[in-house]
Amino acid sequence: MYVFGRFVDEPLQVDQIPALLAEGRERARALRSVPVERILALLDTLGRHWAKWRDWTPGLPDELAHELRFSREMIANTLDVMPHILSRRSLTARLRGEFPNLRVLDDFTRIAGYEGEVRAFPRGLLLHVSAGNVFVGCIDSLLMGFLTKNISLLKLSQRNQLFPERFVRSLRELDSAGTLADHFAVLHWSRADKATETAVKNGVDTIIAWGGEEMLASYANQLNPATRLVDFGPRISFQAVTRAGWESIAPEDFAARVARDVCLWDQSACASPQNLFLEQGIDDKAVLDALAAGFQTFGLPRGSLDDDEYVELHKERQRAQLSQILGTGAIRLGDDFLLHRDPRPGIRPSPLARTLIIKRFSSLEDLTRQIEPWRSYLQTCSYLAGSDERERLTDLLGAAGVSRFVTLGHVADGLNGSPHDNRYALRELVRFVSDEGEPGVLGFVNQAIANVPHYRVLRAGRRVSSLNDLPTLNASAVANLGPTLLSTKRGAGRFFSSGGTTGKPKYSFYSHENFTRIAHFHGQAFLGAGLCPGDMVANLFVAGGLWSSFLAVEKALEAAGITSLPVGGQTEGGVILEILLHFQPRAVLGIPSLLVELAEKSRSLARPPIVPLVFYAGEPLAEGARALLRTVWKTEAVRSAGYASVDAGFIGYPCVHCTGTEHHLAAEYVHLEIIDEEAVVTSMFRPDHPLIRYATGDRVLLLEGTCPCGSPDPRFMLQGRVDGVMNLWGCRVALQDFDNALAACGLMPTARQLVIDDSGAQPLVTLRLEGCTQKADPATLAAALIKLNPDLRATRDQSFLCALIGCELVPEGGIARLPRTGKIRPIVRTAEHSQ
Amino acid sequence: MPADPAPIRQLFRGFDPFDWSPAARQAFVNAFRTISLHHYHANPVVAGFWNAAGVHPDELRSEKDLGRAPHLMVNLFKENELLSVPEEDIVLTLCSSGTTGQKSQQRLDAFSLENIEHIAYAIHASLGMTSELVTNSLCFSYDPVVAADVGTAFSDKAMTGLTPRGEIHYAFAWSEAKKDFVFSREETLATLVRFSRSGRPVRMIGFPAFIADILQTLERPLQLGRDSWVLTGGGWKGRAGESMDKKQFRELCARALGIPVSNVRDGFGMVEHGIPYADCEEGHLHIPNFARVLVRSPQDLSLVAPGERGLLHLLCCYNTSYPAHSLLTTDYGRIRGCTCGRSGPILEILGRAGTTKHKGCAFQAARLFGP
Repeated sequence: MYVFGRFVDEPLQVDQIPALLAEGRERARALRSVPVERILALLDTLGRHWAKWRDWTPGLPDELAHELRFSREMIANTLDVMPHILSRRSLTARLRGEFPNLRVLDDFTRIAGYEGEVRAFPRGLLLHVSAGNVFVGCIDSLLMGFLTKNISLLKLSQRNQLFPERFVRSLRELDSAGTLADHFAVLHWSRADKATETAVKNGVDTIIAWGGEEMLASYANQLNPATRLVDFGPRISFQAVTRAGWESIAPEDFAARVARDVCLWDQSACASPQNLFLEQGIDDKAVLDALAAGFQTFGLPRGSLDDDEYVELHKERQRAQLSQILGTGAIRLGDDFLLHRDPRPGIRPSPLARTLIIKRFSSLEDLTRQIEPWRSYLQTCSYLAGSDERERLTDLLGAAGVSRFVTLGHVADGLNGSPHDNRYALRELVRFVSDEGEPGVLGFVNQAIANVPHYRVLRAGRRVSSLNDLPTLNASAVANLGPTLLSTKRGAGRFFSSGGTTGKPKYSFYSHENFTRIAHFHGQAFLGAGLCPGDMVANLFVAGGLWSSFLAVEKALEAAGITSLPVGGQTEGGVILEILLHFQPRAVLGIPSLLVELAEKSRSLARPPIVPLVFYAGEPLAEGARALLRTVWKTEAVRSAGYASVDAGFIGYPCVHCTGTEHHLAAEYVHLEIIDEEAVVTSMFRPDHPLIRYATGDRVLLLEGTCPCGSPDPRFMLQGRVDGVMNLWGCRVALQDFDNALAACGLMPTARQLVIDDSGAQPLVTLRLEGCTQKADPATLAAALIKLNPDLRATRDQSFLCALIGCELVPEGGIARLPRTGKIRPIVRTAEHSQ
Repeated sequence: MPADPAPIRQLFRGFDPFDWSPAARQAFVNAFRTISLHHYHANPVVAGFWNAAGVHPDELRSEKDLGRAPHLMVNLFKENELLSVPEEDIVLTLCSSGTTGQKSQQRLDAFSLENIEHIAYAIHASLGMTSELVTNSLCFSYDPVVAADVGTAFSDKAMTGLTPRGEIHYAFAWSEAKKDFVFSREETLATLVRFSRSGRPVRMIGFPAFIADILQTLERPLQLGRDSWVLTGGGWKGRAGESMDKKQFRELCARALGIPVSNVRDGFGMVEHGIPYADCEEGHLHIPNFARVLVRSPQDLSLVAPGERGLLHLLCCYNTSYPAHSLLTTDYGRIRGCTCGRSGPILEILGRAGTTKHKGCAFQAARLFGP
């Protein structure tokens, strides 16, 4: 017996149980606070220790063979599985199958699709009633207790005592701090000892029980209503092989797979097949001969049997002999196996110990009828079928009660994260607790004050009652505040670059959870903007370089069920066009300058690609560019891919009724204030890097009235930048860049105005200058701009630019002044489709 | 009927059931060879098993040859119809539902029925269990008229037929209201007391657990006398599933009913086999020379040494219709000698083989669905 870190020689007495349970409850708090990562690390270390069991306990198979009656070889083979069972990779996969966000086991955490926070608390005291069939099973159950941080009380089967004891000793030795070792007990009492059983079962919070119906009924009987019974009862498994499956592999391979499924653990696992169903038309004799050879050569000998098991084998042997005598079936008998080709339909339990009962089916419907009476007992179907039969087979048999499908020969492989017997067991060992928190933007802000150093300091921990209690935040402030804006509770995620032209490098953090949340929203927005699930879309945003668009679009497409061609904007234009011609996507997404370049390049093709839908982002799409796309790619609709910035996150989305720069506000997640025409947003998409009252620098105009699309989300129109930074020719160019370029050319105008003509494929920029006597040479001006602006320097050359810029000299006062202020509008766009 | 039934008739009519003289033993060998030849020729299944074992019935010439006789295991009879005569020859089918829900049965043609009726009476008579006195019987079994359980009815008839029949009371009466058989302790007790005052001998027949239950509720002992008996069968589990001690039971019966301990007898039988094994005065199940009990190793079915535990392999030679003449059971037992003065071995039943108590999963589920 082992009790919370101590080995105890005396058997458990019923009067000791209250104290045992009380101690377990006392220890629960400490285990609950252990990060799951530490548990995984500890178990992984233990797994590595067991990987070398031959070094430190080479005689273990011999010792266990006395108790378990498996052969030494089978035991050694099973011990070799221990490192895998305990490995971080395996345990993590298992956890992820049930908890997509593992942090939920440690702390209140946001999970995708839910606005509050959730934590998976252990249920408390967990009694494991283990079965004696496969001896590592009890350890597997114990691991479930560890992973969910329950205080485990492991009740051993009479037939499996030694191995658990060795396992516990190994854990005790490695876990000197007692992280896990001090938080579980291993007990044994006889099945007839109902007093102990009753005292324990009614004192724990959960019972996870593996075994026969009688045992399960005993635990269920008069169970305290507060105790949850997670029961895994008797199961039967089978193999199914269609004619196409049989013909798809060599008979030797077929036989080896069948034998492996059946012979491991001498057929005693619940997944071990007891019947093999063969489709009509498969040659019996060929199958039996192959199987006999396969079973005979299976590498691990059968263990010992007791008298009762021998009697069951004799009974089956007689049935098989009778089948053979009557000419309706056949028998193959080996030293440690029995194959019975049984003419009777329907599942029939085998006496196990490598006894396979082979049946026929005429069609998948017939097979379904044969297994259906066993609906509530069916577990694994190990099958071999033609590739076009798989879907129907799993559909029919799954509906008939099968709870697990594997390919023939892989019964024992067990994919981590699979449900067991139709259930996700780990989830049943925890209580999901929600913290719905304070709703709305103030709740978001107060959460930021609690979790984000900058806001905590700014408010000295005091909550806000109004958003105005906090100042606005602009891009340079974000750069200066750096990591103090990150939540201390953030999980793993991605950093994106969110600037560079404004001086100090600036990065935005998106936790995976926050990024996924945006992707789900964005994906829905794509569906509202004309895309459909199943569409194919080419993603032409530039990948890498800490840029966000490419990844954001990929995730959104994935969330929307849209097939992506992740081309990437950096790919050579000719290659992109080849891809578009080959796949013929329904839509492309990219920045306007690239789209225009590609469309221009397409003109030279005999048959340019047809692209019905174009989504753009990053800069305005000029009217001339739209016309070009309509002409060359036969584009039917051109829409914004969404209004977002790396700092602010996703802000708005277009519907099919939005034109130009119109967008709906993602109002569920984004709080919008308009201050002096500027959009100031608080994005609740990103609690892990919250920017509260972020001044976007974008001028917006709220639109009145409801949108025909029916969305209650308000609409707004983007009206350019408030700071003179423009998106031109695929680059971000500041007004100041033009002023500096003019100075570099020796021109000192008294007033200047940029006139941008968007009617062509690329914007045409004219500098209206007052107070100058000469124009700047376009080539010189272009060279100066390229030198001054890193975006232009990286992507454009002088010849491209000098065709698109020019100067116009006007007399003093020749530039129109605004009537109210007398100021000059620094930038004038001749086509108002701008962003 | 076999071509020449003389060896069979010779055994049953020419010898006492417990005559184990060399001549009697050889008579059994001859009868067994005869019945085996009959089934071998009449039943392809039997021929198939014997051929597979490489044994011909004609090779069975001596006592030691009997061990070579191939068996059919009892489960085959529960799962298949294995007649050696045309269906129309069957005059009686005995069946009973066992504890696992599987149906045990015995099919008898006229020749076999006549034989088994003779055998049953002869065995009990030889053990001193018959009487010419009219006797009232208290049967701890279902009323056969309602239960339509032919096996039980036949068994009751055989047991109540050991004496001229007086009044017969069945303890498990059908309740129309409950749509089930009901055991009324009060009514049974009242019947027992009434029988005790009838002036006739009384026989209590049936499950020991129920008999013990009634006797333990008697307010004071009865005095049924030396012509009254308790005849039990069906196993030694108490009503709560616990094991009962046979010796204590015998003493309880003797004390409560005022009968000699030697009048408390247990019996063992299998429907498929048919031969009754009954206690001698000392409470030991005697094997008659009308049968053989071989004991085989569960592992490889080889014969074990005398006195060792093993699976019971039962031979008999009365039944021409049902090929259970060489029947491997799923019961454990052993054979040894007795001090009662009769020759021949006695049989100790040591429990039923089965994996349900060890295995989870499918074996338990199988009970719900049958074989």
